[in-house]
Amino acid sequence: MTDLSQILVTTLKEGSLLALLAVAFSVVFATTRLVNLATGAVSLAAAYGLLWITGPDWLGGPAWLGVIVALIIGVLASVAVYYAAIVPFGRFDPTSNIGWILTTFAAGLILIEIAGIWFENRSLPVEPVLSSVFGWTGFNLSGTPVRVSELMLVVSTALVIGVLVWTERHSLSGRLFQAVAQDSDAASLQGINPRMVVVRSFVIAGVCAAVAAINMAPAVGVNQTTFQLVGFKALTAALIGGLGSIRGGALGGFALGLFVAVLRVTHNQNLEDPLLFAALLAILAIRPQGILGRVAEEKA
Amino acid sequence: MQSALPSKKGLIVAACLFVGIVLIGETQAPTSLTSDRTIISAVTSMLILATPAIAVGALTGRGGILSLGHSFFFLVGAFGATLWAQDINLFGWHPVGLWSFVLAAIFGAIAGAIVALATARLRPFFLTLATFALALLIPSLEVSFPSLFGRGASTGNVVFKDLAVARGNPFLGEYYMAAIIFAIAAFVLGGYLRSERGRAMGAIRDDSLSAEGVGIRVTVRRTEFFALTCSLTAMAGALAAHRAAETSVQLVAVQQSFEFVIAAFLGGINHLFGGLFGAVLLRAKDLSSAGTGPSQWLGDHTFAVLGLMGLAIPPLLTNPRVKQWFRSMFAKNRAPESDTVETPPTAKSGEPDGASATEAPPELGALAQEELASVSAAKKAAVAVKDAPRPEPQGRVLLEAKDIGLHFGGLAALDGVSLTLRAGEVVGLIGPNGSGKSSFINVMAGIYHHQHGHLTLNGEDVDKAGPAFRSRAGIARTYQNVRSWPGLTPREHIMVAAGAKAPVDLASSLLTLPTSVSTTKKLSARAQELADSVGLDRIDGTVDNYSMPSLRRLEIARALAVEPSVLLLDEPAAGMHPDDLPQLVELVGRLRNPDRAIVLVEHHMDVIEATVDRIIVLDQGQLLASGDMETIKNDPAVREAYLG
Repeated sequence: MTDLSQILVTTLKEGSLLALLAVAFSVVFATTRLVNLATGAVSLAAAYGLLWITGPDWLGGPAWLGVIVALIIGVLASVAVYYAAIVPFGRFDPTSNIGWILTTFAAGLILIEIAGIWFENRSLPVEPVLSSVFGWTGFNLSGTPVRVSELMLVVSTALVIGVLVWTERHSLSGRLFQAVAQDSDAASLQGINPRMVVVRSFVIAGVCAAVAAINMAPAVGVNQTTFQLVGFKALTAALIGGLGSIRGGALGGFALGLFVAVLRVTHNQNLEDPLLFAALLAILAIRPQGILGRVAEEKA
Repeated sequence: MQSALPSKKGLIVAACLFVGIVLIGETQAPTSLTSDRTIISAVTSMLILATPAIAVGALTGRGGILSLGHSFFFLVGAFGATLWAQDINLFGWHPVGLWSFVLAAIFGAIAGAIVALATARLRPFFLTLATFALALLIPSLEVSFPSLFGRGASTGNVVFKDLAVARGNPFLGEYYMAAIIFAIAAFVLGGYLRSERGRAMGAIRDDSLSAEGVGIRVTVRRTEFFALTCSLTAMAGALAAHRAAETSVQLVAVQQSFEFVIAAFLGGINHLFGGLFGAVLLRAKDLSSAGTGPSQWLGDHTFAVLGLMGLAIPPLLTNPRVKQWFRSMFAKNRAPESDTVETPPTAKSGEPDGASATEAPPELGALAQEELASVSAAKKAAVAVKDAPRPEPQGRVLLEAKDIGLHFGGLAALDGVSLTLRAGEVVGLIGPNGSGKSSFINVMAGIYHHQHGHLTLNGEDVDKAGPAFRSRAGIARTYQNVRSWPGLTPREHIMVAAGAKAPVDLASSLLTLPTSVSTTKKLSARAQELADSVGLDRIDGTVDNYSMPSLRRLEIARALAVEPSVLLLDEPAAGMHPDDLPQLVELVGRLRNPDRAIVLVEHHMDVIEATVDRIIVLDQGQLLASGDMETIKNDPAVREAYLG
């Protein structure tokens, strides 16, 4: 029973983080057809924002301000990646223009290096944004403690992804998004400005990355390697679900969360990383379009 | 052709650089263990970086595959050279010293082949992601399998030990080995790129679908090339392991792959020696003693510098002015022109025939009639060809399609279409847009796989065979939307197709043996012959300057190079000016051969009338009518569905 509840709680916890970042990958892929390898770095930038405001060695400000600043920094960093690593290239051609992967990765390295000017590269602790609600600090689920901060992670993830899925289906901007995702040229002929939609997708990715950072930083500390690595794991999640699909990203995130949870409960966590990246290889080899992705057929 | 055949200027520059490095090494070789080793150590690092850099550069420039995971193979090489070499005991023989490099190369090739076999059929984009996953695997390996790492590697295992001892300097051994490995890598890569196999890689890079269409086994070629670059990278990794005190993940950070790529791009991926230039630039900072001024700053901010380069280089390379400069620098090496490659329309539009922009508009009945009246010149040519005696279609059966059914989801693109092609005949395939003409051609060529019915070629069942197999079995085709290989000259287009069936063996092409050279010469002559036969001139320039009729002729020459028994011409007159049609009619007339069957898909009825023996008409995926021109013209169903 403890094992089951432990698996459930870990799946939700790890899955939420991975789902948020996977959605960040997917949203950008949908509008631009490229994998933004700077996603982990954007998340790191937001985490540094939170640390800067709330850290006792830094400004020591209130948590709510830290959250707002982290969100702003996440969005700004994400949009900056777009203008620095993607705009200068011009038009993207997925069949030949493979240099894009290089430039987003490079932009990520630069972001990290800029952050390195002010922050040391070691695990810097951050206070939880929310540790209790009116004195209530959490509950026990058949022996597995669930803290308020963990609840906040799951709730905020559900909120962000729920809003995105609803917006995609039911609002005008969601339709614009779908139009550009399906055929950017045709959309622009209908009077839609694809660049605006692409910038919006980077804003959304920035928000997702920042929400992930706000929840993750107190749990694991702010650390360059950890954040980059989580970013790459989320790419695996996004590929499992199918790049370009918001629901697919969320699904892939939780699927991977379950995988991690089972490994931890069975005390095999040292195999986690190799298995994950081997899985990434395997998915690419077997079904590169993912579970919910579509196959683009080639025609002579 | 990219990254092969550098111009004399380029070769001289590279040779000078190489000699320069050797001279530096020689003059700077410290004579005692206490003297300053900065320079020789830096030069060795340059060469160790240059080897994977030229491998990765060739893989990107020629193969169109950007690998972010070559650090993995670097590590494989390091293990191959050290752990294995020390543990293996083959009948009392310990493969140490130079043999460890051979082992490293073999391990690298095997690891590369395994990875490539699993992923080589992927589009380059996903392939890059897969290599990135490999790079990510590395740091996690040390966490999960600590026993593999941290073992002594080079102790007592100094390469060229005798020489090094004789010269009183262990660093000289490493330095010579680095230079030798680089020279081997450059020689082998150069040989490969200049050979038939290398040219085929260029075709695969530019358009894998039409490469497969001339009989190139895309996955096999990609796997082979990928494994070759991995093998060379592993040799460099082996040397790095010899230099380091112990083999650890510290040898290869994720970012190291990135360094290979940066060095390759920095020097230019279109030139074999590009990686050498890049490596020299990246490692130049090591030449001065560490710990002072700019060198110190660069050392502390390596990743920022690499990142900035990663951002700056690709846009620079796509800049037309820079491209021009590169062209003038290396006259024979053109920057990739892949942005001009036509993006194939996807079949998801629900239109089985995928009515694309270049296809004529739907109201073709009227249009066909109009053109029928307007193009009188073509008619004159038609009369001339028509009057020539035609062999009776009594030849042996070459291709037989029985009751072919092809479905896209619930949509039937082809529904019970049958066709028997006999040697010597020319069959016209007509019908309105969306009637299934192109689908039928694609089924015959092996691009689409039919769900119902049977297809035999020369009596052999080819239902499951892919395009490459069918091309080897005797089917060649042209494409409705021209599919050329912009990185190759027209001559190379034909050479690739002519050489695809029986590529020269790997050893000859790697070592530039006489077989490889003579094959290239033979193919070049054959290309000239075929180009002359279809009336194509200027075959050593770029295809960019070709007009539509020339491109169509090139496609026909490329298809003929396969020596097909069945030739499928998919709308050869599309996009042509009416004035050019008579020549086309005349060319199709000349393609007629008693041992060959030709299928001609065309909307220009006068071209059809002038060239074919019989016609089959498709409508909504079904056979509407078949017979000679008169029968078809007078068929009421055809008139209603197509001719208007």
